[in-house]
Amino acid sequence: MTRTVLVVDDSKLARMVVKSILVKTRADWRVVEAAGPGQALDLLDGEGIDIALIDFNMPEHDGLWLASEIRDRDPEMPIAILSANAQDAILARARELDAAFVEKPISEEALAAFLSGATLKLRRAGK
Amino acid sequence: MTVRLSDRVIVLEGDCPVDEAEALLDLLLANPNAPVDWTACRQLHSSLVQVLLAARPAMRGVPESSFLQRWIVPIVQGS
Amino acid sequence: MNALLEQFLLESRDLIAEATRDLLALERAPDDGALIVGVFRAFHTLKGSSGVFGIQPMTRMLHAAEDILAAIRDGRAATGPDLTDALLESLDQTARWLDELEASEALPADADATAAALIGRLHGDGGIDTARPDAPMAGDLDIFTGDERASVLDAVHGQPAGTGVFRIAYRPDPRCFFNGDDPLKLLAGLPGLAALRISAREGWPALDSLDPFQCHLDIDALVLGDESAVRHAFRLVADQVTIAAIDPAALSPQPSPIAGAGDVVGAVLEEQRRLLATPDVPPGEVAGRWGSAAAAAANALRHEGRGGTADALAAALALAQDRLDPKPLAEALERAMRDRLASGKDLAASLPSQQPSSQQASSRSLRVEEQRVDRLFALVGEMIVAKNTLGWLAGRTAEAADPSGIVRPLRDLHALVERLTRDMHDAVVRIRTVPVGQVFDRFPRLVRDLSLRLGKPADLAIEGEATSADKTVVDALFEPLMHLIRNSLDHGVERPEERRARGKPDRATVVLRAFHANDRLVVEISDDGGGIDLAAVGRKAVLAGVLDEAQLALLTDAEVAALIFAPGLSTMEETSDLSGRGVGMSAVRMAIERIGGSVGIRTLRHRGTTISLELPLTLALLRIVTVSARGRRFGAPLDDVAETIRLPDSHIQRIRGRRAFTWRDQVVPLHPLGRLLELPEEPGQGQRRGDGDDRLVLVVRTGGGVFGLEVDGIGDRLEVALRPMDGLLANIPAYLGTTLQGDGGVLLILNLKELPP
Repeated sequence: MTRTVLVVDDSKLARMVVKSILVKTRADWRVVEAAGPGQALDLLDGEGIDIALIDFNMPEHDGLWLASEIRDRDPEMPIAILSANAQDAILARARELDAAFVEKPISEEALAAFLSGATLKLRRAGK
Repeated sequence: MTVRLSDRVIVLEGDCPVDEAEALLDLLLANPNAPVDWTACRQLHSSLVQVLLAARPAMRGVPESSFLQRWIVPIVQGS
Repeated sequence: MNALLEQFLLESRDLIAEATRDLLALERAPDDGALIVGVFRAFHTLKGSSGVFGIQPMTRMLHAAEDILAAIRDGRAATGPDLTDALLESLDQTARWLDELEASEALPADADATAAALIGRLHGDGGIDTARPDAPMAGDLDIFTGDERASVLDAVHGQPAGTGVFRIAYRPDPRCFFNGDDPLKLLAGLPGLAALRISAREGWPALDSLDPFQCHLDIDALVLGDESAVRHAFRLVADQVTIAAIDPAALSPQPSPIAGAGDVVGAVLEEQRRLLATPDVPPGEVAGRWGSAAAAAANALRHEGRGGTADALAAALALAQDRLDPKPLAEALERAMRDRLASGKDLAASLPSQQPSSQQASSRSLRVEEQRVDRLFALVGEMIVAKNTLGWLAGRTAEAADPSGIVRPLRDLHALVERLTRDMHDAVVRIRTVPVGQVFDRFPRLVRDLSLRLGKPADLAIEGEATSADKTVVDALFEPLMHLIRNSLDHGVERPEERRARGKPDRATVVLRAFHANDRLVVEISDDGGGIDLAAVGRKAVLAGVLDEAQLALLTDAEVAALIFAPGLSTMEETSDLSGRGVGMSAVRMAIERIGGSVGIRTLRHRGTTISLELPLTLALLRIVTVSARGRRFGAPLDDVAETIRLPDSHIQRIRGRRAFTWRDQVVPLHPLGRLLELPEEPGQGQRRGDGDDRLVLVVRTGGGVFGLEVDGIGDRLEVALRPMDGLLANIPAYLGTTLQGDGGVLLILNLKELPP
């Protein structure tokens, strides 16, 4: 089943890396990119986003802020926070928002594991 | 499919990912006395291990991976 | 001690002080973001640097504290008195461990349990996400079968030194599968996995009601390896896993002596005996093992106050190393354990703990401004030039036929050396000069804890913390000040209800103030409490036999107040657990007098009390006059001597059976020094002084009044370096200390303030 994944990262390079893994592992999925939390929130309204991959470290608002905004609108959407900084505090906050944590640099294996969990969750939710 | 029923034996093959746990559970519920053959299993997601532990079917063969052999076989087949 | 560890101790003690200060401030201003960040940073740095030394229990505990502080910083948890207590306690424990590290370069055997208990306390405060009170104690090993433990034990023996055994308790989040977690895959990636148990957290449900995508698993494992590698493997599920280093000995099938034994010292000794008995030790490691076993056992024994037994062990170690045979050491250890049991291991309970508490352990390194060292350096340079000149002169003396031309340059040189010596002494004194803030800084914490315990809200205000004095003087202030502050809160400050009734604010204020006056250091402790009940003090003093009713009637209020410094007086009927330790105000007075100071008191009923301590700025040099009595020589501090006089027998009066004389229009009691010190009479003593001879008397003037001290002889006036009394002598009030004489003999310096009966 085709899913639409939103990738939010202020670094274009980082978005390209995620996208290349997605193209390889989930060739039929659609990828939507946002360079920041503001743009991401705009895209959420019209694009039929299923899954969000959000960089933690962004100017203005961090990824956890965006995740909590998304959580307010959609309690079920699978979200992953991407960060090189596996700090307990960030992990705990992600857990609280029912978001997964995927460590940067992103490995195909780790992203694939998250995506399988995410599809499971979507299926569970009847989506 | 890495989980299937073949001649009244439930077969686990290759890398069995998380979403196969439901398939395994359904097979075990539908075939309560069917043994599980995991000879060709290379990886078993925790979700499938927990289904095996809850159902305690008769196990056949020894899986390929050394982790499964050394650690999971004794637990799944233990008393 | 290696330089790295030394630096770590230095920085860590600073960080502890900093974090303590910020934590206390934070308690008053819980919303101050800068303070939270400050405390967090201090814990973070402490944790980070502790990692360098492989002292896992400490790192673990600090990590837990850091996580909680991060939660507070991020607004996920709130501070509270319990949490502050736990954080302060973890700082105290860190300080104690630093002392241990300094003494023995290792954490004590019970560090694991201590850390676990503190982590439990840190997590005990509800509402913090990182807390998992349902997680079992990671140290609990009963879940593993004897076979599993034995196989892990075998595996340990094959590992390189430095390999740890870790108990993993992994409780995956029930929804973790949806995040892509595969807990068992994580375990499969651990090279050192040595035992694995998987169980259902709440028992297995009937198969048809099993949710396959909800994780029901509890995973318990033992893993061998390097701690950082093990932790790294679990970094992404750190909130769901407890990792504890365990002592491999605890895995042995017989119940481990360390696990669960209340007798820690006994357990340590038992463990050393076991280590010594271990066969097949590689030859290269033998000496090291014996050494560390002996050191661990000796430390444990010293901790209990069994210094003698500890020394015997050290001697046995030397013998063992000499003979290349562990037997002498093993036997000494056996003997130590037997003796210990025979004499009752509770010895320790009755003795004051010899382990330095964090509060007593001052920062032992001395930090010095660079320019002070520069000055000393320059002086030493001049000294070297002077020494060379002396060599040159000596050479000329040997060559010259007529040495008379050398006298003058020699005299000049002597004058130069004299000046240099004085300047160098002065420079060294300056180096030893430290601000009283070093000691004052420890009290905000004490006041906070006491005020919570007593239910008397109080603030401590500190003034003049930059006032400085010699390090010895400043360090010696801690104990007396601690007692005085306890006293203020315990007996001085009233309960809030009573304060309100008197129109005072609920919160009491205790002021700790320091300043210089007349070349002395003055330290005052003031409270705005109830003041001292002078009538009660007077009654007590009469009851205690300090004076009689008639004498009491003649005293001014100030003099009555000063009676609280007399031995055996306490104004409160019942002593609380805080200050009632048998150390009264008289002990404070003695401690202050011992370092050449004096105490004073001002009190006003319902307004408050101020105790003031006046101290010398330096202990380094003391001016004394040597005196003799019954053939022995002593030093008498000139500060207390008003005059030395020759007293004809005819001037001696007898008043109520006591001898006295008139000095500057007042009647002064006369005490012979030999009798005061109960020195044995010398044969022929009576004849030495002819009947017509005058008596030699020092007129001594102290805070307690004036008296004459009769001596047999008066000698030189000297400037001496006073060394405080230590050991058994420290409790003899008649002496201030000792000094080394030019001939190498030891001269006892009298404490003239304590001498009269």
